[in-house]
Amino acid sequence: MKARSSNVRRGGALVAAVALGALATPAAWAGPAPAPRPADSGSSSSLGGWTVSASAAPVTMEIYDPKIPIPAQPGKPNLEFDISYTRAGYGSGPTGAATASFLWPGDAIAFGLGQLFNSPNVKYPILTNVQFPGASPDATMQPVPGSYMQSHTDANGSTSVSSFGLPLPGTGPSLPGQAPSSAPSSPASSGGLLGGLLGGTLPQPQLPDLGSLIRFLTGQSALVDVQGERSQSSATVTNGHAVATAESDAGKLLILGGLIEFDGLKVTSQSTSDGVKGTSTGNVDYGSMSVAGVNFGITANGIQTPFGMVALPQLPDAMNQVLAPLGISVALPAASDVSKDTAGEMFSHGLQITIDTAKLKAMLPLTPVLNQLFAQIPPSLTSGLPAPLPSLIQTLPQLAPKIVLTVGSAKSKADASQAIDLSGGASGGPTTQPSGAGTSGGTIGSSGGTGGSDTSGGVGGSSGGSVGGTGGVGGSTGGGTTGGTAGGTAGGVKPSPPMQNTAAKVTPAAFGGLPGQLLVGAAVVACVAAWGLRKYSTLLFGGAGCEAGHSTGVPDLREFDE
Amino acid sequence: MAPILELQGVHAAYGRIEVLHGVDLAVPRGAVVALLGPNGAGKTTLMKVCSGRLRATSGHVHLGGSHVNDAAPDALARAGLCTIPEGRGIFPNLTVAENLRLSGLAGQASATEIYETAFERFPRLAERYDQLAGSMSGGEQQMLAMARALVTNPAVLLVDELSMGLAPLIVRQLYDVLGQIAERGVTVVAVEQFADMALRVADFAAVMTHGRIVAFDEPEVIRRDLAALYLGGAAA
Repeated sequence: MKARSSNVRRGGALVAAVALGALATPAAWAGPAPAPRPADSGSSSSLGGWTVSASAAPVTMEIYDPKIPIPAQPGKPNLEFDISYTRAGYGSGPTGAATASFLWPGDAIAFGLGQLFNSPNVKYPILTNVQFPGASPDATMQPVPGSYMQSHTDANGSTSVSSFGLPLPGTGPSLPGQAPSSAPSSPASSGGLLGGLLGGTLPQPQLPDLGSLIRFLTGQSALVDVQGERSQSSATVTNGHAVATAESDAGKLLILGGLIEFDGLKVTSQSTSDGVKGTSTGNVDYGSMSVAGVNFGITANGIQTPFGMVALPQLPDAMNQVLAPLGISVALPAASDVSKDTAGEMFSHGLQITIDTAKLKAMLPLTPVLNQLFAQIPPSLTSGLPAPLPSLIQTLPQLAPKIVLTVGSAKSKADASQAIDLSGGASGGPTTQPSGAGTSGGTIGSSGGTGGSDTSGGVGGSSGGSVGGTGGVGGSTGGGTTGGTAGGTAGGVKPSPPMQNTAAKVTPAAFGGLPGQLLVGAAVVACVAAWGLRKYSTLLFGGAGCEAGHSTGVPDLREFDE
Repeated sequence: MAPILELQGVHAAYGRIEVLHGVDLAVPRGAVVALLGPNGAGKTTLMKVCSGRLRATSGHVHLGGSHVNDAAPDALARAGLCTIPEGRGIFPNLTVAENLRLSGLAGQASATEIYETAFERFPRLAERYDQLAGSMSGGEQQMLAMARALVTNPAVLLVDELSMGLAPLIVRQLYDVLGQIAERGVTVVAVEQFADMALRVADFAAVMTHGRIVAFDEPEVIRRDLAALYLGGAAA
């Protein structure tokens, strides 16, 4: 009888497993270097992940009144209307979303109207909204002549634009009440930010009374009248930077039938992130403002009043003194840059006007008139309406909301993280800085690589990285092994100094650096431990011996011979 | 004739529930042993203990003269112990050829040798070469299961419920093949609820009830006392 133990085979398996683990161990790896990574083509290839969002609206109106039967969190408005609102979002995945609406009621109503009325067929009508992945990358709408809304999103980014009475970006000047100077041109040929994405022709700004529409929808007679406004939002990743851009333009804005008038207000906000640092910029440009016919010129130096120049952001007391009896106050909120680490975030907004309609009603005794007006509505008309409209209509005469108008708002946020170079990197120096940009440099160089060309080395940034790569294989004289701190100090493209390539083996980048080594090492240890436990468990922990005196082990039954 | 498979006082349990209560069984080399018994007697559990899929809580399992209580199923399989489990254990979403090649992975045989071995014994499988195993009839699937066992060149073949779900004519054919396999020196232990077919090809038969072997004898003896053994334990 030949009782060959199968432990021999197990031992062979162990040797194979250890050999495999050893091969995977970086120190022993001497295989061919991975192919060099292609140069950054100006796309998102140097970013591992990103989240970019932008939103803009020339006019934002928030209505606060607890009598409105719409639940709201403390400090949040019960109703919100944004005029010419745009929003764009773009995330790694990629996923994207773009929304445009020239009368934006907030997410709850814009997307929850069907739920509110318990009918999925009820949808908010003044809206273009697209998502990626989704059925269609584009959506356009012209709800009234002179208006234009477009949303676009695809694998490269998201953009949205909403315009009324103002030209689309890059299509030439046009002011409210003016016909376009020429025939409608194709935005694609105009070279604007969205030019390549807009395939339609510019609508003829025949300019119906949008103020009437707003008054109708908000129930606030003559409160706000807008004559020409536009906003655009975009979220993209270009040249290794995640970029969010928001811009709003207001042509002419009349408040309280022209008591307060703004002309020419532009608010911009842009945030970028290269995965190392987030930066933001914002700007607010005013044309002019008049209160009760008194002009207040707003320039970069401040507000020009009849009483002299007042530096921004301080507002003249005289203006608020005029408006206070009407329950109106005007404040200039400061633009907030909350960029931190890799995230750039900016919220730019123009003047903020708060209107206390309780005071306004006291000055203008409208309540008795409104009560009589609503008393004329037959109950049969309101009883058939879905909830909560009947109760809302009944409470309208009693409403005295606080209304906060923000004239011009643009919000942008961009956050990104750098890609992990699994291929070993194309150059030894800082790899994340796009060629030619040279603004920030890399903080951590590639952990090794195949070396660039023999002479080029890495690409430096203006500040260089703090930690360089550890070297690569390939370049006989170049390859930029520790180019992080040695990276360019003068900015721009600067080859790292040629250094001796000291690494004899390919570094473990293919296994994700130290975590990869730990993982491979743990797997090898686990294999050895499992084999040992299986083989020696009886010896270690005890086991029943054979009373009949048989040997322990598995014989080859094919060779069994009694 | 020394036993190639021997069990001495084997106890086995699923958790706290003991199923085998001291099984003693000796299977001579090259013999066909029919392990009979009613449903729930512990036959399949005994097969699991023999093949290493369930550890005996006490007692001794000897295979080829060695103590194999703690041996792993794969080690026993490589040593020549092959099990055709209840339900056949084939891969229904692979073709007949793929099933056969998988079974031959552990050995040194080439694909051609594997096919020759299988199709010589079961010519029907050659006609189903590219057919998904799950789409074949129950009898053909059982043929595939047996063919897979054959290509491993087993020394001991444990067959659990060969007749399950099959027509009597097919079962007869399969047991004929089992007899032919045994004639080549392969030791066969066939667990079966339906005694007639198994007893026809068996050299010995054991009857199991309530987790114990209550009878071990020649088939004719067992056939005569079968009803009494099934109903009341040991025959007179």
